[in-house]
Amino acid sequence: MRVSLHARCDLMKTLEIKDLHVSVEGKEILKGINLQIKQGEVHAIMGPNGSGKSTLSYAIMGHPKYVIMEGHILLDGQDITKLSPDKRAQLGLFLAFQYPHEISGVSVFNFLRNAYTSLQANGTRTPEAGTPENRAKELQSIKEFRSHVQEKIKLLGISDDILKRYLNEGFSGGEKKRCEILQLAVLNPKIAILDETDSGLDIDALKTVAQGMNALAGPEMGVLLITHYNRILNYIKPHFVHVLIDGKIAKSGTSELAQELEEKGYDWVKNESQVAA
Amino acid sequence: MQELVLQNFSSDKIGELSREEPMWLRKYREHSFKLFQKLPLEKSELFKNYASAQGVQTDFDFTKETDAKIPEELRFVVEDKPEFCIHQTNGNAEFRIPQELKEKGVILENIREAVNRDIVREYFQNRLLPSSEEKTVAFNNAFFNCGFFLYVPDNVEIGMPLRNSLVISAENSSVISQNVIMLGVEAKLTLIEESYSSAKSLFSNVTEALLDKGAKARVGGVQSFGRDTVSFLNRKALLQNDSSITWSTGFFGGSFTLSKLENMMHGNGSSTQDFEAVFGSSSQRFDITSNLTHIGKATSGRVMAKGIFKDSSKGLFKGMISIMEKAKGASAYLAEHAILLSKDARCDAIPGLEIKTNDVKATHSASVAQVSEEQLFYLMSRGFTENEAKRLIVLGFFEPLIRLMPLNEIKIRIKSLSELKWHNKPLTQLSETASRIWEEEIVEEEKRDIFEGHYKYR
Repeated sequence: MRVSLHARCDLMKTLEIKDLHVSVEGKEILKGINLQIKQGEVHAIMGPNGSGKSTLSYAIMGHPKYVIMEGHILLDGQDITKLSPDKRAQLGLFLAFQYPHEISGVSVFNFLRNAYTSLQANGTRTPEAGTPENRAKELQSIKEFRSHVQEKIKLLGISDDILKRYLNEGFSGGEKKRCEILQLAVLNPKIAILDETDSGLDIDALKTVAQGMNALAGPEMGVLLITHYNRILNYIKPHFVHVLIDGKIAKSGTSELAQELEEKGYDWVKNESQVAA
Repeated sequence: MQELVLQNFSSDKIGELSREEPMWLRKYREHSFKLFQKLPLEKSELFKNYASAQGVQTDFDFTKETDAKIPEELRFVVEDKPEFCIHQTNGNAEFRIPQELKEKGVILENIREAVNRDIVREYFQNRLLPSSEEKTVAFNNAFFNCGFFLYVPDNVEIGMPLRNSLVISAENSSVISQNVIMLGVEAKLTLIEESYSSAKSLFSNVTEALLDKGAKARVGGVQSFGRDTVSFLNRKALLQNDSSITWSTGFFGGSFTLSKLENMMHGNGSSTQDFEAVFGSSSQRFDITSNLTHIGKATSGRVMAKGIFKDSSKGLFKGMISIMEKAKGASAYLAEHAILLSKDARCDAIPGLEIKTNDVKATHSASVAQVSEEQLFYLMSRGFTENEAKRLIVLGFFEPLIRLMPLNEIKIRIKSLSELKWHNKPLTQLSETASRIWEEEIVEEEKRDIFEGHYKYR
């Protein structure tokens, strides 16, 4: 199966991270990261607290506070290191936030539709004038979009009450995470980064989120799963596992590596990499 | 106070104005004029910082009737004449009231005619907004040249809304209107107001609403003046037992707007709600006050005011919850929140609280914030440009407020006007479709409105 995936890689989007050094408020957090994620692959990044996992996800998405000092991020060969977050999203990147922000007054449904339309039009859309014909077309497309969203909602086992609520406002931790996955499902990116989507979820919620991810992550989507615990890896099987320690990838391997980490702990990798150095 | 000199308004003008008026009114006007000259415009230091009238042009003329042409883009206001309406264009007023309402004893007429009625004359002697109350009230009481008197007898419920539209197109003119609304026991009224201007002008308004036992009123309004209009609004309601009033207002236009609303919950179980949305741009200034005065038992009052300020616009939100000695069981809520969209925009919000009894619930909150970088990043990571992301946050900021407003027509208008303000478009371009941010709600409201028959979305 791995072979067939690789055979198609020419046609696929690839996220390449080359020697990435990132600092936040003058402090270097990432110290030379190299990664390559192809559509259809699931990569897990694991690491102890403070190793730079979230920094990596923010830097890939282009958060202005996370300054890239050295290195490059390429999507499908295009250097996106200097692009704004919206441009990156339009090229097919998506970040599921660890702590999603509340946007008052914008319902989840309207948000999804606005985002979907923005992505479709590469951010250039302008509101159409309210002629009756346009209005009728609009209403039709709202209807179609609604059924598209309903489909995803069912797939993820979310209650559709969520659509009328303001985005993330008053959501529980679990609801926020599910809402992130719903956005991912509706916006259908090429490469999805999940920043500790599993943290704060109870076991049932974790199962539904993981099932949803499995249903979504097909040959069309590459996934970078950032996690602190490996319990989510009981439900989502990564093709590759990377261990991030002190801003560097200390070890890479297949999904067995996660198992080994579970048994031996991060110190084992730390010691091993010190020996290697 | 040097801040408000209206040099063209003098006692000569009062003579002119009151030539055909009863003697008592002439005296009343003269007395008011004296108070106008004496009273300060505003005592608060904050006013100077945030909403100062400094530099606001005040050389308006005292206007009598004028037939100034209505510009094309405002024709839609004057051409739409529902059967129950007030049309004020410059100095000219037209009143329409359906026969069936007249037969029920409803009175709608020009305030300048209504002053000949005993009920109005007596009311003027002991009114809600006497000239001593405020400089702007004294000004209005001295010089009012239009306005309406509405009387709804006991147990008369008016189903259709009364529409009050105003267009000012005469250069350097002033429209000084005074509205007196009296609702009898269990009477019901919906009033929808809109105001536009295309010329340098002054608009002054005093509105008083008296609600007898169990009366219910909903008042909705949008202020879409052109950029050279100065406006002063003083509104006050007096509520008897179990009566209620809801105000929903959107302030969008004008160079300088001073608005003060006070709800006096005199009767036990009376309730009031006030929703105000302010959207400032360029160098606009807004001074918005909303007070809740709880006098009777178990009264309930709620104020929610929100402001969005772009460019170098400025705003000041003030409000006071006063709970008097006998107002046991009162509940009061006062919230004033604003978003600033540029480093030159300024706003302050100062809610106050004065409680003279126990067993009450009172809450106030205030905030003035900028769009957060983290929120922006979150939205941009979904493909929104920075500008689009800001638009979502900003227009979404109004949504919870607009959602509470009871009149769908006003909701849709405020949404459309906010969108126009965001895009720096003229406030008269209402045919533009309202934003996608709200489309679900708008679709639902459109549906609902067809059934309610109130639909009037331009």
